[in-house]
Amino acid sequence: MKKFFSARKLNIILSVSAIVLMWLVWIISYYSVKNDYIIPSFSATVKSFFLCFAESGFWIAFCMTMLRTFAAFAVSFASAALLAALSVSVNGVSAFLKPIMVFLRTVPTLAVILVLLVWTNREAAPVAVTFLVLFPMIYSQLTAAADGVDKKLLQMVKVYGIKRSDVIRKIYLPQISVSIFSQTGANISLGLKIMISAEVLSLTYRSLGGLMQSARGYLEMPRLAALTLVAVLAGLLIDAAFSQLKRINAKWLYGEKNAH
Amino acid sequence: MRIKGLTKKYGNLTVYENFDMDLQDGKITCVLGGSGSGKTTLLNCIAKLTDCSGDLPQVNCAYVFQTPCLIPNLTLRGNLKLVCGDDGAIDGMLEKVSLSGMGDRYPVSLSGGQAQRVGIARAFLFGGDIILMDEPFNSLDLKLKTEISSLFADIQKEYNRTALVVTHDVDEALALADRIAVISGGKIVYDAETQRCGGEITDKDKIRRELVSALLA
Repeated sequence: MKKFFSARKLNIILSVSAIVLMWLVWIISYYSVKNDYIIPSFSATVKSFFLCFAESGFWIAFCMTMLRTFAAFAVSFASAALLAALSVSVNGVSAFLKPIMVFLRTVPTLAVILVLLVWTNREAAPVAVTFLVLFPMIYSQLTAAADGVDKKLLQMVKVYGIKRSDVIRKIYLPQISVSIFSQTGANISLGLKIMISAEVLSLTYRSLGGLMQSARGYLEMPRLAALTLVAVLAGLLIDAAFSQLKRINAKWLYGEKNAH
Repeated sequence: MRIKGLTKKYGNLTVYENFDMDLQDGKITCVLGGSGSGKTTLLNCIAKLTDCSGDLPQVNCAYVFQTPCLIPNLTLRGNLKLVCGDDGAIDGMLEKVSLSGMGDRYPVSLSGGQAQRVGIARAFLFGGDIILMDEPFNSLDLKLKTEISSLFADIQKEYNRTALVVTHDVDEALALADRIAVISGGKIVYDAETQRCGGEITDKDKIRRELVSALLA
């Protein structure tokens, strides 16, 4: 097949095929069940999807959810970056943090939401839960990226006595940035998913999760599906934006011609 | 330049015990040895890349590794600027290693031979007391190996720098060295100075035979 299509075109065709396949599964499921309260029709969902955009309440909820997601990501990233830097540069920090990270990675999210709802409020609990999921994950990604820096290059800078600031600016940061840009889109998408789940459980006012919970309460299945579609599209857009940033970063690091 | 009483152990494995060696200033010394004979360890001890005991020369080392060790996100000029701030010197050295006009290229766009030349250029630009070379031509084909090793020898003569080259290739040692030592079991088992006439070693065949038998012993 590669003879007929370039790799890029082939990837686009395969992605579109996967979307068509998911749409077909939906249509077939709908016609198999034929019950709008279980699986809403595609046309009713699309109608509800566009109706959402006309509601100011939807936009406020959408923006608040995105804002909470980005805030949770920013705090997670800053904390993870700080601790990853300490863990790489100070002996013993990594061993000290290891059990804490294992605990944070394995602690059940639902249990944490319930506890946090007692301690905090409906707006703060989803942010805290998203932080608790993203923080250990980003920490692991950053430490792995720092550990992945070519050991021979580090020997070379030691032999030639290259300044520590140059080593950080010219070796560590550029090489870690490749990993950051390739993983941040997926991290924020995952954060959005966790945020919405936590909002649903917390019944957060002015949130996508809150709107979904209310749609479920009134058995508005097309609206519930439409809100889910909004969340999926938002995640895809974030992913696409970071893929683009990753390309720009590669061009900046390795020059226009060598970015691939 | 003198190494005296070098002792290096990896756990229970003793690589060197009271190892002594002299290096002649301005000359190329080649150390030959089989795999695991401690050739790279010797360089790493001198460059202080590994812990060891003994009296080692307190010198600034330039190091040409087996792989060129270039920072991929910096241009050739950017890589060289880390060790030498003088743009003129960088351009001059790039010309010497036949890479003039390529300073703005990135390492990924270079062939293996070109990248290794940048490694050699960096070593000479650094201006240390000794150049350590760890099988620097190992990954190159025979033609490139000959071309780059003679390029290195020419620049070394011009700059009159002390160099310690480790290799397992007898021909490479014969082509480069002013002195050849064979290491086995943490000791020097063969040591000979070479006499050259018009760049070629005199009684090359005799030295080759002696080297091969020292390596096989």
